[in-house]
Amino acid sequence: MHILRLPAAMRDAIYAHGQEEFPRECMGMIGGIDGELVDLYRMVNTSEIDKAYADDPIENIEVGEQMDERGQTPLVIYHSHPGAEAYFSDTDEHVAREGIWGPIVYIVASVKPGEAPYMKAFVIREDDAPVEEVAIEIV
Amino acid sequence: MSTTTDVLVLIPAPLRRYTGGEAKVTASGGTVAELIANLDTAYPGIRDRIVESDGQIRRFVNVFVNGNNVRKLDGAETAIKDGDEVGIVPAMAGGCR
Repeated sequence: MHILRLPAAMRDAIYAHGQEEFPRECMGMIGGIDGELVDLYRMVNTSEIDKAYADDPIENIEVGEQMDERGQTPLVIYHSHPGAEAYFSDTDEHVAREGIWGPIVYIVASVKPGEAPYMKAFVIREDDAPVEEVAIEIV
Repeated sequence: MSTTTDVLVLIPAPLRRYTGGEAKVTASGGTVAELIANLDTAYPGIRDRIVESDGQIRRFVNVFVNGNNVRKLDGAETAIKDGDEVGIVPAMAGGCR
């Protein structure tokens, strides 16, 4: 997708999740149908270190099953950067390239105390393609 | 080499482009490695998404046999038997460092 049409409620849910988890990173997914974002799935960050996120594979399976039951496909993986800017870090890029999610959209939310949160979205369209920022349209 | 039949393999959404959209397929093999090799015969290209060229499971992929992560068993050499269920799960990770 070249523009991510993100419902305002999902934007707000990601910010709220990031603020709840601060100073840890939050993480989750958004499932959708025909490119339209339908449900947001909060997930548990099992990373043993701060400034990082990692899934619980069992929960990952359960979220996948829920999306299947609802006829959805995973369209977005989101996480927060607590106290940092919203950018696709070297770690984010490395994992995206080593991982197998393909051209899924990654939302990164900047969450800092006393500052308004903001987010950016990124995609790697093919194996050797560069990281590309995706415009977000709040709907 | 032992062979098995009717092992159910759960295909995650990002790999269904290899299976014609199927979320569940059947395959055979006495170990996870054999199973993945046989999967690749039926669905060319899927093997490279699951294992490295040396046959080890990719770092950001988890493979489960009956709900047990094979990293805690024998990795790609984990034995499987008739009736087992194998799940392939793309990992999610990253962070601001």
